[in-house]
Amino acid sequence: MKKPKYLLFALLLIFVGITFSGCRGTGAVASSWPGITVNGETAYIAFNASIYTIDLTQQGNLKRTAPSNDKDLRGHTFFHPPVILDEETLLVGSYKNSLYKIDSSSGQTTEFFTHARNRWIATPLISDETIYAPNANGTLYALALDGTVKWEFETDAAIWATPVKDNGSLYLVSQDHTMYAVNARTGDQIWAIDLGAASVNSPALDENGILYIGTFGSKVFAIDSKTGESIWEIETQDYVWGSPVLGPDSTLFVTDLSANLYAIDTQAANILWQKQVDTDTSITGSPLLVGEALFVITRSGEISSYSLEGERLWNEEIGNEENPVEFHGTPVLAGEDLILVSAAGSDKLIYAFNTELETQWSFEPGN
Amino acid sequence: MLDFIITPFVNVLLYIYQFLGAGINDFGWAILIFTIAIRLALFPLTRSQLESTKNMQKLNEHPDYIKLQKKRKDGKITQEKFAEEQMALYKELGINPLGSCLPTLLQFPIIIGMYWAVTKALATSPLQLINLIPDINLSNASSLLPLNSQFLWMDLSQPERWYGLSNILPWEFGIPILAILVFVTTYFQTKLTTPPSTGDDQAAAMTKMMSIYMPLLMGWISYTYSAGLAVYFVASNIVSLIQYALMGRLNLSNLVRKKEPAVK
Repeated sequence: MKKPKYLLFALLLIFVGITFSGCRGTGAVASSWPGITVNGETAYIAFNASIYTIDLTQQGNLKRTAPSNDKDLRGHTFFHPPVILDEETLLVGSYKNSLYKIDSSSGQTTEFFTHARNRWIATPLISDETIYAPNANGTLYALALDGTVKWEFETDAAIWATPVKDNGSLYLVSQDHTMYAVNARTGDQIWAIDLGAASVNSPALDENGILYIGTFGSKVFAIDSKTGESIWEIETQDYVWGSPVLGPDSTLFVTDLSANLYAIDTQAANILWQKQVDTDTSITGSPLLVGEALFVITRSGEISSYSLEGERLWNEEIGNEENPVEFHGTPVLAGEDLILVSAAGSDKLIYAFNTELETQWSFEPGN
Repeated sequence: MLDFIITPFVNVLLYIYQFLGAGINDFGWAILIFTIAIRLALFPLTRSQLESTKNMQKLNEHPDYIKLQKKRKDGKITQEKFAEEQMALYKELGINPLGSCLPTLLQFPIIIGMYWAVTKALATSPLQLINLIPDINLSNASSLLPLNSQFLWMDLSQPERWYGLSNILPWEFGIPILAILVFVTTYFQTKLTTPPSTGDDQAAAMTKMMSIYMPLLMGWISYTYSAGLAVYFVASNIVSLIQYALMGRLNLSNLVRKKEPAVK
């Protein structure tokens, strides 16, 4: 009688496993892409339940993996790039609602802040011995370095973007369709502006105190940081996911989910040029500005560079039908000419290119 | 694999959410309304499945079938002969042998599609949101995002816990009310909708296993996954129980079954 019982139970488990893993080949479905932080010759990669430390001078060789202690972080997902608290400590938040401190030399992991009841998706900002940590519960927490709460600022929806700080004010974008200016010392609201749609990127702030932000309403706004009033708005073809990037000569570079790259003249409030990097794909990160070139990556696993006048310089495609690789997030510059790109959908987490987009190496945790 | 079901379901869910005003509680109501609508749409299949089950039970009690089974058990006929005569009996009694499993198979992708549609629409991570955006076919999609996942005391995008007793207790403790509700409703659904045992020991053992493990499994999923799914499970179980009750097919004897006397 026991055999049919066990058989039934095994079948039930298999069925539930297949159902809840989306009928894919494996049960483990990536729900994020790796977050990268570069510190000199070292890069920290946050992905799933691990933080990998890799040596950039040794073709991305793995130096250590955190957690190294008994702290069981199975089921956690780290998404945002680790933040460097000090020479020996990293700070990273997980999808399981906790912020962790990680000893960068030993990999020891300790819980730092556990009172938020939602995911940590945005990278915390550290300034003036305060950690400004936005949570997906819609609250921006200002934490002292010992983890005590200085103040909380609540919004009506998840916050996925790091705030920007300038002259004692924080500029924060929530998915409640609003951008807020908040007093960095007290947490009091200074102003708020309705953007008409959600935004998941951080604003760019220029030297004249103008904030630039892209939204899911397929718009880029210029906002006066003093008053919170909109100066101009420009339409894009699709949702803007990545943060706008300021370039020389008052030029703003923006990408959208139809894989368009725009150069906007912020003085004249018009689009200087627009290039579609590829069709049937999207760009979820910001362009990376290195010298006189812009680097953009697409979801279809392509990296391209453009001159500041919009001419395509170099192009490399890693993903293809047989070996699908998705590039997400913003490329990260390491040193003077190494570009690190986060990959999803493949065993390799990071691809490294030189500025002529020749693949230098790739990082796969198992190897 | 089920995108042809999931994508339209996501859009229907979002349409209901938009129709309700896209505000607080509205996505929870959208899940409830759509679950009830799906269950009602599947009602003819459920009824046909029940009819077939009833016919199969009649077959199990038919004297000719009992004799046939005995012959096979005693080795008086081969398996092929048994199958042949069983088919003849099906024909004679007008029973379609696939009648009870075919409706179930047809319902399956729809129910799984609903589960995935709820998960997809809630989009709680960047990658999920990137995957959701191209699938939304509503004209003003950008104004709907992100969905307001608040429903009653719950955040539908998070595993549900109720912290109402935290003021009384010396420590913070979240009670998983929805997971408990899923466990209870799945238990009743499994118990009350299972046809009475036909005396087949193996089938009875399997039924017993299902009535224990299924509620545990669904309760665990609800404890771990987002509350939106648990709301769907609870609504689906309750509607299913109401449908069975309206058809007079709730098998209350499974709940209050008396201990059978030992066979001497």
